[in-house]
Amino acid sequence: MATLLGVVFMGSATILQVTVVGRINMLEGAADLVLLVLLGWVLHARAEGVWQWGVLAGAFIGITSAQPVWLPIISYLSITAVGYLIQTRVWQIPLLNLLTTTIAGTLIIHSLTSVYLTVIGTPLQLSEIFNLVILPSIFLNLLIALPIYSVMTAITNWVYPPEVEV
Amino acid sequence: MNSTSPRPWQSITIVLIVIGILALALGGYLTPITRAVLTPITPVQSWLSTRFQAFQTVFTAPNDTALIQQRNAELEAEIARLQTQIIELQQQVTEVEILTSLLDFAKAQPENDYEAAAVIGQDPSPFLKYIIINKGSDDGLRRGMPVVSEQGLVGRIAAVTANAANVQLITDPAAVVNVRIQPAEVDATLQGSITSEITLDLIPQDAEIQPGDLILTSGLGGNYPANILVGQIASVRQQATALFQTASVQPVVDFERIEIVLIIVNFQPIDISPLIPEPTPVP
Repeated sequence: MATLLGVVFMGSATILQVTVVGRINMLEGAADLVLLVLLGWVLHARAEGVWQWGVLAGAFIGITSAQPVWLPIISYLSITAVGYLIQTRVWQIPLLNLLTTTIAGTLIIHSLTSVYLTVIGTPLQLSEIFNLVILPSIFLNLLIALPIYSVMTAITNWVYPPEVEV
Repeated sequence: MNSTSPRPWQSITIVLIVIGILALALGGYLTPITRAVLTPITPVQSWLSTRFQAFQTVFTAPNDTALIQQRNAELEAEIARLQTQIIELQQQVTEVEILTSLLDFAKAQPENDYEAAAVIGQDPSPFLKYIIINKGSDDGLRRGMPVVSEQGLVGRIAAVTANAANVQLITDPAAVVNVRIQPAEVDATLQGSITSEITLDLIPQDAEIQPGDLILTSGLGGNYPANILVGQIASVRQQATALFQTASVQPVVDFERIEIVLIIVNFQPIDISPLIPEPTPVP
């Protein structure tokens, strides 16, 4: 069930990212809907199949992007790990978890991509990457993180109804 | 007998009076009297009529409101339908204009065969300046084919699936295009960047170039056909200590609004990498 939902949600999020969200830019940065949907799922204690969702997110982005498939899979699995760790081991404050993992996730994705591009010989400047891509992307992600998280909370409650104490 | 005798005289008198009054009325002699009588009545009549109409409106209003609301809803639906139709027609007009421009472009260069494709997305990574088009290998597209618009060079196909293809724009940081500057007839290389700005590099120091000069593909390297318009020089940077001049370029293609592109399907890119000598290790 969780994996099937993951296919549906990650597929939809990727299509929206490629067609709509990716075109709304601030400087050179853009919001990452797939990242936020993934975090919205991972940060719920009752959610299952978080690792499958991580792989699916990376696979969908890898298929649509010009970067090699393994790169986004590694990126989104790392984000899943960070989100899972923070959710289970560190804090139990949803809002703080969300903001922290959003910032960390954006940093992870863009850092790994820029390292890969630098290794294959693409000329990139660190200051440009940070000022024009990473910071605006973090801002945009934080801007839409809460609404996405609310939607994912509603979906999680629908899939896994909370236990009622009698 | 006595009790009935006066009645005929009374009746005759009344009839005569009535005839007299009628005759006076027909002759217009009673008009001042009528006016004098009706003058105070008219305002009263108006007042009563207004109040009656107000009451009538109150009692008949619910039916009228329902009818008006229904009619209003119908008209709003009609407006919405017409507005949708206007938007669709405007989109069709825009599409026709673009297609006409593309057709003109294709006619101007009859040596090339073109395949038109719509832009359906862009790369999810902000580091990569790629677009996704709705034609793929099923439509005869192959990796390396040049992509143009009615304005000029867009990029080249980087990856192909059956029904879609990834196009690397010339603004991509990893994109390099060999170009020629007109009218100076100087070769240079065009390099994209993460900010989508494109710059010219490797321009000889003695080349006389200036803002406004045209930039066309040179065809060197075998990746692009020659003489496709790329842009204009916006500014030139020349340093006495540098080996080459550099220049920033204003592309002719608006990459933010690109909707339909043409793929030159009869151009075969040439891979010259085997001809490039590898550096030999120094013992």
